[in-house]
Amino acid sequence: MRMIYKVVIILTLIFTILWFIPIYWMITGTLRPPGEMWVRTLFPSTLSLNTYIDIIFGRGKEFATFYRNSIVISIATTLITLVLATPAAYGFSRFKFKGNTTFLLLVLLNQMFPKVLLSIPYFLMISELKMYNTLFAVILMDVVYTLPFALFMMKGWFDSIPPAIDESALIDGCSRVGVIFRIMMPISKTMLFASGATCFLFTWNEYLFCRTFTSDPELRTVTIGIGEAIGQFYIDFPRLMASATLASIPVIIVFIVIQKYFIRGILSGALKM
Amino acid sequence: MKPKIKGQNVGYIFISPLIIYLFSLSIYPMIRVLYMSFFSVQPTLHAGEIFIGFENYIKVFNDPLFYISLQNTIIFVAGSVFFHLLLGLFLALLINKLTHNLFKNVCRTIILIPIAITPVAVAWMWKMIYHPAFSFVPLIFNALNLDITWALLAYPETALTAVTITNIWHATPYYMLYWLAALQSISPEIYEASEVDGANMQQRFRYITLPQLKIFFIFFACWDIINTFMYWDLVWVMTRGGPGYSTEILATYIYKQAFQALNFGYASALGSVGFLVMATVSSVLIYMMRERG
Repeated sequence: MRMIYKVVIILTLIFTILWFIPIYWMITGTLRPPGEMWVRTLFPSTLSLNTYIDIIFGRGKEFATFYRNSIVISIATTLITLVLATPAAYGFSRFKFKGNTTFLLLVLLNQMFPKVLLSIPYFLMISELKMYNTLFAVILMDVVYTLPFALFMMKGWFDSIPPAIDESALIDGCSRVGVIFRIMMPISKTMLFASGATCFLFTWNEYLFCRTFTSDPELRTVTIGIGEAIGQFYIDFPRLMASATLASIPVIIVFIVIQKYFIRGILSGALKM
Repeated sequence: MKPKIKGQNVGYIFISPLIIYLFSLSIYPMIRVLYMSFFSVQPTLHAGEIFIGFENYIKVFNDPLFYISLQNTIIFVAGSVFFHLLLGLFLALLINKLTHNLFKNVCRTIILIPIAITPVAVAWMWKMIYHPAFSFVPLIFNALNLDITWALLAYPETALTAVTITNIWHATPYYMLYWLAALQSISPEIYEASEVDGANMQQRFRYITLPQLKIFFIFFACWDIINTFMYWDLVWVMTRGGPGYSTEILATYIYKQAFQALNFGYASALGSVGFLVMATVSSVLIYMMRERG
């Protein structure tokens, strides 16, 4: 038994190190002083925050624009998603109308539609509606991909609340709308926050739609901004890695906050299927 | 069956905003893709949409690039799914076996870091790892006195493997998480009962853990195939399908046909065929799950 446990420890260590090397190398790459880029050593000689300072405060403050666009898109998408998904989740969970399962399956099917494929008709629709080069177009399309996830997360939550609570409120003279706003919303706060954060995460990572539906440099998001450190003939390595790190910071924060719910959300999908 | 409240049709009011949204921005565009695949839609020609029947589909099946990209997609997806699931399960089992809490949590957190990195950032990072001048790998080769050129993305023979490895590095932690949760869903009573009956560790793994995990296995595979089959971001940032056509997967080929060649009709036909392949594979898997589960 002791022998097996030792093997387990060694194997875990090996894999942890394997997974850690690229990250270590990326982070130290951004902290090296200028000029040390070509001298490859395992440890940087001194640590310097120059690259970050340069990205945030130098050269036209592009990264601030990227951040602003990403935040606008992510927050708008999250809000629209929650407004649409929460009542729908409540409806699916509480009412047994005709076509309940059919509609749910339809939403599930929607998750299977590849983004690349849908970007073709989206592009045409956006041109027809004269919305090319607007953040609104990106937001509209992003919602399509966050909706199913938020719906299933919220539905799972409402399913776990006994309907007797609704019934007793209704008997006491509360209206259906009142039930939602006075009872369901207050007890669902955490879950709303968790599914909202998940939507935020998905939208923050989105790349294809921003790339395809906008061309204005002013509308670039963080994911597109990372590649800005690449010129035609040169690669600004520390800047590239620092951009990648900066782009990931919100994701890291959100992920730490929602980790627990995120896994539950995915697995509830697994167990439903 | 849950007890439901009277006046069930009120439910339509609650779901209608979401359903209308999805119909107009997901079902309708999907139908439009199918519709467009029978037309010649080339915005640059200003000829409008000309009906050409099955011509686009005939073109797809005579297009050598379609077969190349389909083959690359299958290699990419198969490699990714295989390692995501097996390596993920292996890591989950390792972590599950650890009893030292601090060590366990540190290892678990480190392996989970890739999840918290934006996919595009992962793509750039690995593009640099495969880059001969910026990578740390030549450092190791030098130390070992090996004379190997390190530029995996520059050669057609290695580029697809390199991209697949990136995807494996990035997504395996997700599957480790899922597997950890799946392992915890097996009730401990079964293990206790088997211990009483005198089953050893190997027997317990073979006859309890594996059968219990089967349903998850199929579900994760299905989920992974749907997510990876048309995964555009990673390949686009890392190679744009190059060098040559060595990493051209369906997603990048469709994108090029649509937004570089501006051949929307043909791109739609390509996409429809690709979607059909993906849908078939995942339906077969779901069918298997229903049969056995």
